[in-house]
Amino acid sequence: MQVSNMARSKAWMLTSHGGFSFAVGELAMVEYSIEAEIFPVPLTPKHCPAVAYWRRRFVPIINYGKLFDPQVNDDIRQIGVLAYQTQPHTPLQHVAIALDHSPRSIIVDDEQACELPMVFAYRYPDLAISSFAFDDKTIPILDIGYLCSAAFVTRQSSKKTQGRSGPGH
Amino acid sequence: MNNYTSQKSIGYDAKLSLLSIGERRIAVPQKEVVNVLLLQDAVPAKPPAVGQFEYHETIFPVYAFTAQFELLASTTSSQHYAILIVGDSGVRFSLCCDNVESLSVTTDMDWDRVPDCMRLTASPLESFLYYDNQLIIMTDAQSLWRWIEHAGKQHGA
Repeated sequence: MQVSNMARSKAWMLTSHGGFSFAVGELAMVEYSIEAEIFPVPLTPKHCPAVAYWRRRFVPIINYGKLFDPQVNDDIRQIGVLAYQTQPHTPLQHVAIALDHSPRSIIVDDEQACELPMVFAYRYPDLAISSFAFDDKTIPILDIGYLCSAAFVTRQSSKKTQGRSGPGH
Repeated sequence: MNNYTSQKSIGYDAKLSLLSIGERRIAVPQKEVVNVLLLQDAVPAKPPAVGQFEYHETIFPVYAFTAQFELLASTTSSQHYAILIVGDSGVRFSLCCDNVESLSVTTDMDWDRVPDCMRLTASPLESFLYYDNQLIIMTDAQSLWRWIEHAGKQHGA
């Protein structure tokens, strides 16, 4: 009998508003909601246009699809609330991602690892930790802490002033 | 899926002035508001101000925003009032609004600081408050002035 040493991990696969797939670790997913109170907020980055009032606090909503397609609208109905830490041993932070479908629980093993889509190398080099092949698609595993950081906003702002470049998703 | 808690931030003044600008509701510390005047009493001023008041021998230029914080060249038909505010650095100006209310902050109110991923350069947004089933944007005179200066430059003023 052959024994496999292949590492297997549980994860959540999410489909953003606008139809872009990505994954987060099993423990990052806190809640999926189709009835959150959502409030648009002015003077914010285009990919972060609103907040959700969730469990008596406001969490920012990332319209992830807008990072890849500016035509994705802000008519957000479904969100997935994710937890992340900016440093080990620090309090958990929360963020909501605009979704098109309910999250899907999956199991990923090392054999599925593959190269990141080119768009990440061109536009968002630090946004994905790694990626894997699933259902004939390449699914990035996002660094949620970086997506929610001031560094990411600064990088987006500076790129806007330099002009946009790189291929589409 | 797991249940987690996160740190809450509570802060600001015990009393706020709550301004309505269209559908937007903005709160500033009441200690910064020196008076509320009728906008119709303002006299013309140099753009991007839409007018000015002389109050206790000090000039307060009047600025008008949309609900999206865009600087306006003239007031909207619903803006009838102007609050006169003074910032920590001594900056003095006036802001048009549709209505002004007083709001006492209580410990059961839910506050959150604007997260890093929502902050843009010169943005005056400081915190969010959930009140009366609405989102209230908390700011202050200094932050608003920084935004007025930034927006004024964008308009080439």
